[in-house]
Amino acid sequence: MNGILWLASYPKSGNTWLRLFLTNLLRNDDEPADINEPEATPIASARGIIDDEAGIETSDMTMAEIEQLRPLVYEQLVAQAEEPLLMKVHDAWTLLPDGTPLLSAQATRGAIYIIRNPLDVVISAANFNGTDIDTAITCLADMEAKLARGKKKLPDQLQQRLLSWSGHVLSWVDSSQVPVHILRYEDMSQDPLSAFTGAARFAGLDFDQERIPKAIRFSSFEELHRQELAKGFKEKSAKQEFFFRKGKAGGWRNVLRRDQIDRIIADHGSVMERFGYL
Amino acid sequence: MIIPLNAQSATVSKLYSAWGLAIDSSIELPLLQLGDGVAADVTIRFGTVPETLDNARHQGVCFQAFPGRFLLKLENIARYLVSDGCEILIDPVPDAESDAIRLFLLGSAIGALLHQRSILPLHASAIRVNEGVVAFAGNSGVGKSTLAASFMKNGCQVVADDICAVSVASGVPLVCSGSPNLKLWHDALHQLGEDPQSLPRVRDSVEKYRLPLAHGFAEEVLPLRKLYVLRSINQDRFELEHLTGVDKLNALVKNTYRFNFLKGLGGKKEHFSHCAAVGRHVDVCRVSRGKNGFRIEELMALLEEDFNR
Repeated sequence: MNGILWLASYPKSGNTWLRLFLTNLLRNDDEPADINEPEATPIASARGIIDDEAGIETSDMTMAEIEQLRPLVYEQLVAQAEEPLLMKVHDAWTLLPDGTPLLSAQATRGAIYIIRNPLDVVISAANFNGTDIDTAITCLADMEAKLARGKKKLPDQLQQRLLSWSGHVLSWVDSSQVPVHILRYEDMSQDPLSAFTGAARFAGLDFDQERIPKAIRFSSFEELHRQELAKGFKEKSAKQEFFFRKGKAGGWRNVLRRDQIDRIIADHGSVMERFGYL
Repeated sequence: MIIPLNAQSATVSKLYSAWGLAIDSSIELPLLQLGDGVAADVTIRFGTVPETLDNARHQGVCFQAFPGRFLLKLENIARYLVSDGCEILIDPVPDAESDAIRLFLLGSAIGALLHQRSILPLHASAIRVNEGVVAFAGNSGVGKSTLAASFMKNGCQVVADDICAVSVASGVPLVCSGSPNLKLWHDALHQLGEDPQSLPRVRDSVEKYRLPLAHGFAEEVLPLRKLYVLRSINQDRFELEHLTGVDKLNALVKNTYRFNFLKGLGGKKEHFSHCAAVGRHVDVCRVSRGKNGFRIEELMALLEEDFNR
């Protein structure tokens, strides 16, 4: 069945890592794929995609008008595609005022939802955005949080509703009612073979026993960091030194203060417990 | 600035001049220069526009296209039917924002009309430099208009904003000037020392403003000399790369305004040969700038040094 398989996550949860794994898996080259040339996994909120498929400048439209177009754009992409599509997405699964899902249930084949311990997400988010950790914690608790707001200038991405970290997780896992495969960042780190094999199977990329370990090796943190050191990474924020920083789960133990940990648990305890983070 | 689409404006037409065309329009277009003469290349009228095109060869979410016919459908605004490069019919939705009707008329609808007339619309803003044109292309938000506006502040004249119409009929790529306005965002206006509050918005509901150009506009036909394709990178430096061969051709194809329309309108081959013709006469450079902070004066100095060489 054609349709979009969303590579969905709250920001800073391992989405790029999964995309680079899938790139290496699909290419099956003898060398690691260039980190700056991932296989076709465009982000759903790219302004250029919406402008091209709609045939208008979204920069001349209101946010409400643009959001009305977005599900139609995904349906259009699916109608034109000869094979299933993979798209990265940070939007939460939300509904338009008329009840239509922003990301179109009709265009959706399923979603791999990458989840990462919010205790680690806040550290990575603070680094990426150039803020302190307390600001990142506040943002993770904000049900109104949005990416690429850009009211006074034009960002190259459309505004994306994130909700809070818990809201984001539950929107995809419980509310979307599309087939969702949950992929924990911690499992990608600690048991990559089983975690990535599960994701590849769900994506319908059921390759042989050798191809998956090779793709894991070619998208290992060491390899990604090596390439970033050598030639830079175009998705790095201008505010951070490196995009691929540590690639480890559990870094929060050495970074967060007790009161910060308590705040995050107070905000997200029930969802953290459900996914094994408490 | 809201100019109503009243009954009078629906019956009395005026002649305007833009993109090398004499445009006879029943909808007032205060954003265009008035034209003279009697013969019009294009007429713009109110009328009944169908919901769909029969036999559309390609359709997007808001458009349908067939050779010689193009339909643009914008919910709550209007439907536009663009025919044979010489007529645009507008069917407004009752109570639609009149500025919005004009905005998309002078955007996608004109883009389709230029494609139908085999004029190459580059997605670029452009300035006059000596007896030629230097154009700035790139994705929306990359700073095309801001750069053109900054050169205007330094005494240059602007010839196009967003749509740069290039005609290759004579073999030499010629730019015909567009509308004497620049569309700019709040932050860009601040950077230019303009007060956004004193300027009209492009539409009431969008925080993007219109800067009228007056003497800062050149209404002329001039050869295109240089095309800079702007992009932003996450490193704090500038890069200038002269493109050749396939890269140059791809840059021209990719920076064609609403390239997708050609899938339905036809003429992709002709478009490709126009891009190749432009490529033979025009120097095309990719310009990278840091994402954080435009550092516009440094960028202008770099470009000036290049195009004055």
